[in-house]
Amino acid sequence: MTPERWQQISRIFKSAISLDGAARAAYLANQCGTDESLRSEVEKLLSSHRQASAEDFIGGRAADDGAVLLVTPEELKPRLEKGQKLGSYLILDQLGAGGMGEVYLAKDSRLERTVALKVLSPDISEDQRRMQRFRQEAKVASSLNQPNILTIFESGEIDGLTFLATEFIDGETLRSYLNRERLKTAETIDIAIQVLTALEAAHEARIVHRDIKPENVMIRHRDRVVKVLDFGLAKVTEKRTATQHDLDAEAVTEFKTTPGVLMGTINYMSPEQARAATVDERTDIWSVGVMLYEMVTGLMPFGGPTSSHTLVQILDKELPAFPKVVDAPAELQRIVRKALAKSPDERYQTAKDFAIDLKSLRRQLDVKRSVDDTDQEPDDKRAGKEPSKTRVLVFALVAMAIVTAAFFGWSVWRAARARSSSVVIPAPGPVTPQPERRLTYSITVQEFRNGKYEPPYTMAAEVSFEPKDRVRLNVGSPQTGYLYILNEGPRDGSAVPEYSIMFPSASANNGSPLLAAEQHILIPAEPHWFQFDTQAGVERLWLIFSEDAVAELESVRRFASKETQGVIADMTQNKLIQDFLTTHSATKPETEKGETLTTLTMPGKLLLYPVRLEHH
Amino acid sequence: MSRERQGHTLQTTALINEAYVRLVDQKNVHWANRSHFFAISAQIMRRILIDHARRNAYAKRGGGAQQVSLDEAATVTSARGSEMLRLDEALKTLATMDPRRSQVVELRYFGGLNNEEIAGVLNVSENTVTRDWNMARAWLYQQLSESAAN
Repeated sequence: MTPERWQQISRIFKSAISLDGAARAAYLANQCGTDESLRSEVEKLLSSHRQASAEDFIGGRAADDGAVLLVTPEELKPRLEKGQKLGSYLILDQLGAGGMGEVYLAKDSRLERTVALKVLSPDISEDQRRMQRFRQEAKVASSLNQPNILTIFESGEIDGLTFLATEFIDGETLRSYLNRERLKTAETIDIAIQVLTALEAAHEARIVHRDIKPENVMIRHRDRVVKVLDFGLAKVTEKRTATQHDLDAEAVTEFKTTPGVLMGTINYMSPEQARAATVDERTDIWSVGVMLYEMVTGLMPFGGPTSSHTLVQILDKELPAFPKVVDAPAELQRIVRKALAKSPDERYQTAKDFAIDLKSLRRQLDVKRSVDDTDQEPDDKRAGKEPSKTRVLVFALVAMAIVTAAFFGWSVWRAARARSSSVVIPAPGPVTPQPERRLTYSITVQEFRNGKYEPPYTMAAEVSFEPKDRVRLNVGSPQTGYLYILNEGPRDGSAVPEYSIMFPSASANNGSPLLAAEQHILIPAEPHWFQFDTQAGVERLWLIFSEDAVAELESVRRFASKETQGVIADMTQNKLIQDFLTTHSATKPETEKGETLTTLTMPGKLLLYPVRLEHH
Repeated sequence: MSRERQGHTLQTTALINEAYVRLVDQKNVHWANRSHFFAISAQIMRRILIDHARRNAYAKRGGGAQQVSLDEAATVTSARGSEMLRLDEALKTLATMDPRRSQVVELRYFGGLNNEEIAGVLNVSENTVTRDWNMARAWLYQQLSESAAN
């Protein structure tokens, strides 16, 4: 068909389409005259138009229609079946399938634990670049150890299948939760705070997630604990400096994602990601901002029918105000606005700062709520989730009464070959000949399962604890020396955490930090326990064991009184302690884990070690 | 290519992401304006889909032995792939006769723009876009029906 003929046809078609019946026939007769082929062409087109409309031909988006092109039959078929074994993993069920492969529920027969087993699709495991990404994911995520980050157990290859075994979360993604329910403001804030807590840990290790979105956030059914998944896109930020020392650095520094290539979901992308510019931690701040906006309003702040629409909006469009119908505090809107500043410099600079504002808003809301409904029935579970408790890491003694009793009741633990409790340890005699410090500790745990406490057992490992579990620390040394134990509180917005001195205390060991060789102390003393509550976190107990008295710590011993309960309520002192710990923890002691005992060894006259007690 | 809602959200997302990646890869392109940007995006999406369709068609020819186990999904895939390829061919023919109408289809179907936006990109009235669309779609439908029958 020549362009001229085409023009002729289209001119007639254009008018004929608005006419029908006899009028159309008359018009066509008039326009086409004796040119039968012209008339037939136009009529064919008119008929095609009718059918195309009826069938909604190319009425959707090509991206939707063409999506099926990316599906291959192999991808649709699960490669493992129930009851089948992959190495030591017994497949229990298929949990889902996604872009990278399938996810199964499996049992690891070695440890009798249930895991989520991600098995990569063959075209990925054959693809070098994507395999690289997979290995990075495993490496990066396993180098992060934080209760709000999905734990990776193992990755490897068995029978030609590449897999990743992770902690199994009986829960749902935030995406599916949002699809189902409208979230309350308080819950929205709680979820955001937990995501930010995960990011804080990642960012501290200089890892940027780069793909924060509701699909990558899981909420566990049991306790509503939030887990951030898929650090597969993460990369170590470029602005890493030499002064930062973290143990995990080596694990994550050597990889980079291809520059200029953007990965991630467009709606949650930051403007700098959209421009394919260099990104840092603040890109995650933006994405949490988008997620927060979505949780509050049920709408996407930036989004359009196509990626280009969305992109233009992310770069240019001013953040829309919350719709009037949304009942959200003005402060929340301010916070979201700050997280979604187009320029990274105007955003929250750290996940921590972002979380601090959310926590303080959460507290205000609680105060308001308790004023609003004064006769609210007490609800244990709810109280457990109270965010007014700003201590993310809550480490509470069984009850307040016991707190006091335990704190001042710590006494020298008498082993089987007991000494008298009133023994005053003599002044340090000739100290051990080794030019090193050695300290041992073990943890006695009483698990709370099925409504009652199991018999206690002692272990060396620092495992994850569950709410209500109880623990007690047993610390000793083959050497004589000065022992100090500090509990590091959460920072709560300030750069300096608040410490509590747990040993020596007014009553334990007669108030002396001096520990005799082979003397063991229990913290807290029997019959008391530390008990975890329902708020997830990591509790740090610093063990400091020195040949000589430590001046920085001697000066805070006065806080170990009944009045202050060990809390060092002096920011200058806290800062001194922080500096002391930072300076001296640059080198880590060698740890040797026995069956029930961990032995720490460090060259020199001073040993420092933070015992991490993590709980869900 | 009637509108069907099939559960391929993941793949749609993957496609969009792929388009996006290629879009931002056009580093040397200086975006004259929004219109230019949308036009390029639509072209990219079209190219990606055609690439996938071609790859599918190629795999079909190459992997004859595997076709024994082809299930329904594969049939849909292969039909959709060949439709995509025929649509692309027809659009190319249309472009030689009537570049503007061809572009309307590209912007709307591949680029996902609505008529108002297309009018903005092409600097014509919205009515013109509607008329162009009707004509182009009818003609494409006819072309695809004929080529399918052959």
